[in-house]
Amino acid sequence: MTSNNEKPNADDLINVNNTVILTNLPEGQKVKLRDGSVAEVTANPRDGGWIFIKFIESPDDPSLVGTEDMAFAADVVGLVD
Amino acid sequence: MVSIIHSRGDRSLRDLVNLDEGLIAREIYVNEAIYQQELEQIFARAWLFIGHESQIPNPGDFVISRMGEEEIIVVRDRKNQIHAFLNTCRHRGMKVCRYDEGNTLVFTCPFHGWSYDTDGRLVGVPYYKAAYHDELDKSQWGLHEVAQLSNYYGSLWATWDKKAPSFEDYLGVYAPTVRWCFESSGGEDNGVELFTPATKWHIPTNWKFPGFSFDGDSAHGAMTHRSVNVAAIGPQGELDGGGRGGIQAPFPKEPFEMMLPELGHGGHNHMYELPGTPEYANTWQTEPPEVDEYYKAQREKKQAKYKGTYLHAGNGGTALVWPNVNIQPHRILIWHPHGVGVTESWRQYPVDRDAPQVVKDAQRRYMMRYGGPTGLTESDDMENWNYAFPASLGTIAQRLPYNFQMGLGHAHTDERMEGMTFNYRIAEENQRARLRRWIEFMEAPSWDEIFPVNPKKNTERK
Repeated sequence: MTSNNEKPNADDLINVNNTVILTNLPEGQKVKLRDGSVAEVTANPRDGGWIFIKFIESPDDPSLVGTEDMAFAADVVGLVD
Repeated sequence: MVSIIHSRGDRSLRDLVNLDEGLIAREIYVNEAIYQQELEQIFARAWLFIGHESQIPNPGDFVISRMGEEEIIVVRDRKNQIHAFLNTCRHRGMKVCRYDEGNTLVFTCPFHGWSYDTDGRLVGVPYYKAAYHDELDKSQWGLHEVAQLSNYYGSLWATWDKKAPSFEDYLGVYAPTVRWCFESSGGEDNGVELFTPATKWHIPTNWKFPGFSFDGDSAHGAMTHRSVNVAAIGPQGELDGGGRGGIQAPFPKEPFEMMLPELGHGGHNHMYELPGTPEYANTWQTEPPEVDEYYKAQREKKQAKYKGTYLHAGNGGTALVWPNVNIQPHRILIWHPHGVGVTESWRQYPVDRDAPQVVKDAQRRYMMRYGGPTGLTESDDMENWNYAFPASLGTIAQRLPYNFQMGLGHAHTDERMEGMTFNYRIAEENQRARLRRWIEFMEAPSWDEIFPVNPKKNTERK
């Protein structure tokens, strides 16, 4: 388990099945979403279900870039960087 | 809405509560159907104590509380507003919070993942676009919030009934007493905080045994608590006779039972016969001297605040706020119904918010040996309630009414405290007042029948 103040190891963020471990994602971590969007974690309630994000790229809907939303665990498909 | 029981066989519910003769059927304490009606008629409508703002000082702070049998989340949202929500997901009912207290951004249901902001709004629905096709109106599916919430000098109260009167009206002339209970010992409004966490435990008895007798049954002390008085658990140790309470300086006063029969509130209270408050008497001889120094300084502040003012009712006394919370100077006792024969008992202990740590520690130690499941005084009480309940269950036992006749016909009023009803300091007037309110709540279809009340009924009562 990591805290907000520690930089987590890569192994703490994604497991061998490429499942993102949502509870460990720090603020600022970039993630890839199921629709191809890339977003940055702005807050993490650490409930394992949701993260708060800000869109950085959104190929299907460029108007989303810069907006904030919540992303569900099943829609977070990978890490960026 | 359940149908209201107006009769059981050939007896009306009111026949079970014969207040004119002080005879109360045991059935109202042990009958499952009556208990179920209490949940609907009393706990779904009355104002209930749910906590204190000091438990949730920061945005996102939450604490779990209860209203009747049901769990609620008391939370300060990100805009600093306090809310109280039923702890159940609107999708399939799972608890959305399984911690007793904490700080969070959202409450996420662990079942399917519906997620709620701290202001109760449904903000996260998994597969919202793909599976719900953007058609679910999230604004209609937020957490279920209480109908009214009152922050009364730091104490938090709520009701599920939007037609209930305001909390201050609900208290009536007892409002200053309750306000007084949340003053610091120096007389500062909203001057306390609660020790955390709350103490919670189950006792095998009906909630009315403790709920109606606490602050209503002075007669039990000489017998039930004789041993604890001998043990000298008070903060002064064995000095001055070693009572379980603190040493009090002489001050002309007369103790009474005081109550509002129309509203159900009441307590063991004093009528001071001089303006102001008593001098401080050193009473913390079992603790470091800084404790007495602190409380002495606080008393001087209080004396300055109330100089020339006649204090009544709450000073040095105790208060029951109908139906199930007792507020005393150093402890708050909540009797949650948890089944007809189970009460979930909660203790929360106030202490001056700005007191030095040595004072808080002394207060905590005193209350640990006094109250709660391991405290000596309440262990005595629980023994009585926990045996009285099963001894009232039997077929033969239920033929025999309880006797609530002490002081019957001797209630009176006093022009110094208009609106209150008085009886001798040892009486069962408080308990009859609660039973009177009980039958009114149980029979009334709505608040229209039970509020406003007619205060003149006080003086008409025998």
